[in-house]
Amino acid sequence: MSEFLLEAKNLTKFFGYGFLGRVKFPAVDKVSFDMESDPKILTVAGESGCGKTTLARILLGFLKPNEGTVFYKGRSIYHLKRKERKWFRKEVQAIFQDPYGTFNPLRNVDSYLFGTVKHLLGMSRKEAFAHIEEVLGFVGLFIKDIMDKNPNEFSGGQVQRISIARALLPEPRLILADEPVSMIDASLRMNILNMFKELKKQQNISIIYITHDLATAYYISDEIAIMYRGMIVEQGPADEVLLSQYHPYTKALVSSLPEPGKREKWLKEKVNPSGMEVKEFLAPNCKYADICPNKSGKCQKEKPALFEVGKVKVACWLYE
Amino acid sequence: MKTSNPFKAIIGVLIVLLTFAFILPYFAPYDPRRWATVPRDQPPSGTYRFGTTTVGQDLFWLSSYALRNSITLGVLTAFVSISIAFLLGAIAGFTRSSILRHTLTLFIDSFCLIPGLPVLIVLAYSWRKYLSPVLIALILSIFGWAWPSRSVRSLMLSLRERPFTYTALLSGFGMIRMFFYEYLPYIIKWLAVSFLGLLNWAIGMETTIAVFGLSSLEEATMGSIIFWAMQYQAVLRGIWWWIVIPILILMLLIITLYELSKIAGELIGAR
Amino acid sequence: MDLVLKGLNIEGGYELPEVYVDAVSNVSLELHRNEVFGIAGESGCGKSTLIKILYGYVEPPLTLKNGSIELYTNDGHIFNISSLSPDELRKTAWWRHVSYIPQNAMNVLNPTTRIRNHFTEMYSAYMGLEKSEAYARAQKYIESFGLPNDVLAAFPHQLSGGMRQRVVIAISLLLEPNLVLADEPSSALDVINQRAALMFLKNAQKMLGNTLVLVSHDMGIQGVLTDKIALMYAGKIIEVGETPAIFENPMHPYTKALVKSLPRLGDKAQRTGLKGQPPDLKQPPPGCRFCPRCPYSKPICQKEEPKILEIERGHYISCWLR
Repeated sequence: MSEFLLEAKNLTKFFGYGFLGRVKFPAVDKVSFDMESDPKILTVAGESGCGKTTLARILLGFLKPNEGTVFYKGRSIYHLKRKERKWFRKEVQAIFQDPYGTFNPLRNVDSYLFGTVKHLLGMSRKEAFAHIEEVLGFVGLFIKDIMDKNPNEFSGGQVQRISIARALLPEPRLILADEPVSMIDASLRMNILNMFKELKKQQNISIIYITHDLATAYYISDEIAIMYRGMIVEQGPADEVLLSQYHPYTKALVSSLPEPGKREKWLKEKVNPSGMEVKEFLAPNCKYADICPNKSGKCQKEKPALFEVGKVKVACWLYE
Repeated sequence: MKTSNPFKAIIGVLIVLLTFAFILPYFAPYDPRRWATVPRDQPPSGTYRFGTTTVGQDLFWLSSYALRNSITLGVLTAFVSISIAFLLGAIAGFTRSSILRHTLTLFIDSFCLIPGLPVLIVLAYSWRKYLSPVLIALILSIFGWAWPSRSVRSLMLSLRERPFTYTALLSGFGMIRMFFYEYLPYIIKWLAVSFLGLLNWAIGMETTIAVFGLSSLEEATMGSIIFWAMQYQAVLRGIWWWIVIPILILMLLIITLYELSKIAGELIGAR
Repeated sequence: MDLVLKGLNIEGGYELPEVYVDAVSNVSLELHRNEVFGIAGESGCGKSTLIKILYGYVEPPLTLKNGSIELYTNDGHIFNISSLSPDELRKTAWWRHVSYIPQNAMNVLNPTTRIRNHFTEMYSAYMGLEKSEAYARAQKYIESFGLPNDVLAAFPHQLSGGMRQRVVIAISLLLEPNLVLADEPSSALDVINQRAALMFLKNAQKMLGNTLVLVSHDMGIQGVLTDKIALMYAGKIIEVGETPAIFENPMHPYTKALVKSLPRLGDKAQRTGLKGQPPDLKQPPPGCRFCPRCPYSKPICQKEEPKILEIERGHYISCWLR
C-alpha cells in the first residue's frame, strides 16, 4: 500500500510571551513531512528550543496546532470520534526522555502496564499477565522482577526499558521517542538503540526519533529532518544529510560533534553559537541568516523555500 | 522522624489544648459567659487558676469556652474556604478551555488582591446585629479561599505538565482516573497543609476583628475576651491576666498548628 | 617543579543514616603542569565525588576516610588539602591556587547583580583593589579572553547559557590558579554552545599554562580536549593513559566496551552496549568491581581486587587479565 502512515502538513504553533502573552512567536513554523507505510526510523534533530518537543506533542495529539493538520493513516487526528481516538492511542505511542519522570514516583510501574492493557486492549487480568510477560521479554525483563515496585527501585536504563515495554503493549505502528537515551549512560545506550532497530525490522514499527545527538541519529535513522527555530531546514536520507551537510546549520552541527579523530579542527575552527533570541523566531527572512557564515543579501530579505538537491530538501538560498 | 521528640511534644500540646477546648467545657460549674458569677479582678490563684475578669467571669472556664468557639469557627472557615478554593482552583488548573481558565484565574486573582481586613471590618460592622460564630466563619471564608485557590491552580497546572501525565494519557487513562489515582497523593498533601494553614489564619483573623469589637461578643471567643479586657482597660488597671492569658493560649495554639502543618507537609503525600 | 597535585590512596564516601556509600575507593593520581587531565566514567562511578575531595570541599555527608592530597604551587608551597578544613582552604588555597567549576555552574551567577560585580568582588576580596581599579582590570581581563565588552554590564538572564558558562570559567581563572577542576562544564549546553565553551576553556588553559582536570561522562569531549584520561568505575580508577592510546588501544574490558559502543558519524557498524548495571556502592562486591559484568572474568577476579600496573609507557590498568 502506498498510503502514507503519517502526514504532517504545514504545522504551525504559536506561543505567546511578554505582557499578557501578546507577542506571539511560532515554536513550530510550517513544518511538513511524510512517513510512508514501510517501517522507517525518522530522526527529528535540533538543539534545544528548535521546536522538536512541541512538534512531538502535536503529532501525539496532545497539542492542537494553530495551523496545519496531521493525518494518520489518512485520518485527521484532531477530528477523530471517540472510538477512533482509542484506535489512535493504540497505533501511536511514545517514550520520553527522563525515565524517572515518565512514571508517577508514588505509584508502582506495573499499574501503568496493566492499565494500558486494560484500557486500550480490554484484556482480562490473566490475559494481561501473559501479554505483559511477553512484551517485557522483548526488552529483557521479567514480570516478577517489576511487580509491585516503584520506579525508584530500578536503574535508569531499566526504567527506560519498562517505558518502552509499556509503549509496545498495544502493538503500535508508530512510536515517538523523545530523547530516549540522553539520560542513559553511554555504555547502555546501544542496547536501547539496537532495540529500536529490532523494532523496525522485526515488528514493522516506525519510529520518530527526536534528539540533539547526531551520532546516535546516524546510527539508527533512515531519514532525518534538521530543525532550527521551529522550521525544518534540511531533510532527506540520513546518510546523505549528515555526510554531505548542505545546509550551513547542518554543517555547523556536524562539525561541532566532538570526536577524538578531529581534535585539531574541532579546537581551531571559529564557531557561532546562536543566541536564543525570540527575534530569530520572528524573522521574516531566513532564520539562520544572522549567524550564517554564507549569508548573502537575499538571505536577509526573504525566507528560502525547500530546494531539492538530489533526494535531500534544503531550505537555503545557496541551493536555488 | 515520625516518633521524634519534637513531634511527640507538638502532639502532646495539641491534645492538651483540644481537651481544654472541647472536653473541659462540659465540666464547667457555671456558665462562664455570664457576668458576676465570681468575685471580680482576682489574680490567678488556687481557686481561680486563670484569675477573674472585671465583670466577674472565671477566666479559666471562660477561656475554655472561648477556645472551643475559636477553634470551631476556624475549622468551619477552613472547611468552607478549602472547598471553594479546591473547586475553583482545580477547575482553573485542569480545564483545557482557555476561556474558562482565564476567567477563573482573573476571578481568583481579584479576590487575592482585595484587601481582606478592611472589607471584613466593613461587613462585620454592617451585619453586627446578626453576628454569630457561624456567620463570622462564612464572612471569613469570603477571603480565605483566594490564596489557597491560587496554589491549587498552580499545583494542577504543574501536575498536568508532568511527563507521567502524558504516560497516563498514552495508557488510555481518562481524566477521572488521572485525578483520583495519579494526582490524589499530591492533592492530599496540599489539603492537609492548607487546612491547617487556613485554620490558623481564620483564628487569627477572628481575633483581629473581635479586637475591633466586631465579633460575636456574647458568645465568647478568644478575641472577644481580649476585646472586653481592652474595653475595661485591664492592663492599665493591673489586671494583666485578663489580656495575657488569652494571648498566651492563642500563641500556643497558633504555633502548635503551624508546626503541625509543617509536619503534615513532610509526612503526608508527595515529594 | 612539574608536579601540581599528588593524591594517594584516597578513600571517601557518603555517611548516610544507616549505611556508608563507598564512592571513591583507593584512588591515587598525579597531575602535572600544563596538562589537561580527563576523569571519565558513567553515573555513580565517583568522579564528581573525587573532584570535590581533590578540591577539599568535604562537608557531611561526604567524608574523607583515608588518603592524602597535596597541592604544589608555583612558588614551592605545599597545601595539604586533605588535612585542611573548607574554611581554612577558603582563606588560603581556593581561587588562588586551585579553583572548582561545579556542574551547572552557569546558574551560580547572582541573578540580581550585573556580571561585573562578580569580578570586582573577586578583585577587592582577594587582591584588595579599589572598585574603580577592579572594574578596569575586569574589562581588560574580559577582553583578553575574547569576550564582548558589554558582557560586564549585563545581568545573567540577559546572556545565553553558553555565554554564562564562559563567564563562570573566566571568573574561576581570575587569580590564575595552578589547578582548575571542572565538573561537567558543558553538559547543560547544546552542541554548538558546548563547543564554544570548551574551546574557551582549552584556550584559556593554553594561555595560562595551568593544569585542567575535566570531569565528563562524554567520551567525545574527553577525546578532543584532554591529554590524558583516567577512567573510573564504581569508585575505582580502572585505566589511565594518554588520550590517543585510550581510544585506539583500550585495555580494560570496561574501557574496551565503552569505546567500542560509541556511535560515530560515518560508521554504521553494529555496536553493542554493556549488560547489567554498576554495583551498589552501599555493598560493593569483593574483588574486582567490574567482574559481575565482565565477559572475561576469571575466578580470581571475584576474590581479589587487582592492583594498578603500568602495562605500556604511561598506560596503567587495574585488571587481572594483563
